[in-house]
Amino acid sequence: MGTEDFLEEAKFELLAGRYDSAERFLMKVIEEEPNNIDALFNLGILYEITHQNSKALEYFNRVLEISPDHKEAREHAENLTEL
Amino acid sequence: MQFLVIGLGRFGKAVAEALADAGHDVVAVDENEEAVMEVEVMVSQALVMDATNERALRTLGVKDFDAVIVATSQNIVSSLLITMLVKELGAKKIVAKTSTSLQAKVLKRLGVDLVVYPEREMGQRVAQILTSPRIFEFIELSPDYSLVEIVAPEAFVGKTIKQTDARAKYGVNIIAIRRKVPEMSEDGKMTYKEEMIITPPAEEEIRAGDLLVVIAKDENIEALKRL
Repeated sequence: MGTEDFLEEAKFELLAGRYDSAERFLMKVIEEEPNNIDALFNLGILYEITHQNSKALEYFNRVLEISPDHKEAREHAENLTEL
Repeated sequence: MQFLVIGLGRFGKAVAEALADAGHDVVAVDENEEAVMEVEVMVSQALVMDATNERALRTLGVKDFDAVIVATSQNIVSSLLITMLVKELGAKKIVAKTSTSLQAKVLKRLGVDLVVYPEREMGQRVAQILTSPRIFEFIELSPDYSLVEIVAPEAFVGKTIKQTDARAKYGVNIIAIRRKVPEMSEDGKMTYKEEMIITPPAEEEIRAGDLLVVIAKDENIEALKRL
């Protein structure tokens, strides 16, 4: 399986609410491609859904380091840093 | 409804914006022209005015508003003076911002209906978040009981509310569940939508990441945090 397949599996698992499994697939993508924006962003979403907010912020910030114009990552990061 | 907001610092501005966003008529006043200009586009009417001036205040028709929000706590003297004047002018309901308990005491004597301590309340929330990262909201209902929003403990995940035996075993009442449900946006990006399940049925399964809104004795909430 290539990174594209892992990404698809991760989306499928995320949508099914199987977060542990989704996280494993996304981590596999990042091991192969540390700057894969989709994987980093989806990890941010996964951690935000499971209320691991500091981890979520870390991944949204990594997306923004690679792609400063990523609108969704910017919005999520801003929401997470406000009370 | 109609509201008069006096004082457009951070708190007054936020109240005025929220009321206007909710579709209410808001008249906002401050003696600082810049502050007035900032809210001008959002509210029904924004005026530069010294609200300690009785004659100026009288022109607003204070008694016609459903509530007057006095948000000028930085200057204690003007906050008390404005409160006294709007009371005399027949304000139906007065909400006043304060930062000290002494000021609150005087405001209550002047007949304020609701005294708010935004700094104190925010300070308590921040302390709560820092010391209990799994708690997202905390409302003290009485000296013994509180309402909290807590991330579902791992021991509850995958179980129905009935299976958790939360009430009998842990003394907590789950009154609602806030859930982020993953979904895919039209452009294929992952996102989520927020769901609120009020009075969830006993058969409702608790998912990872659910925020449980619970009412319980403080000691039971402490026990829940350790699960």
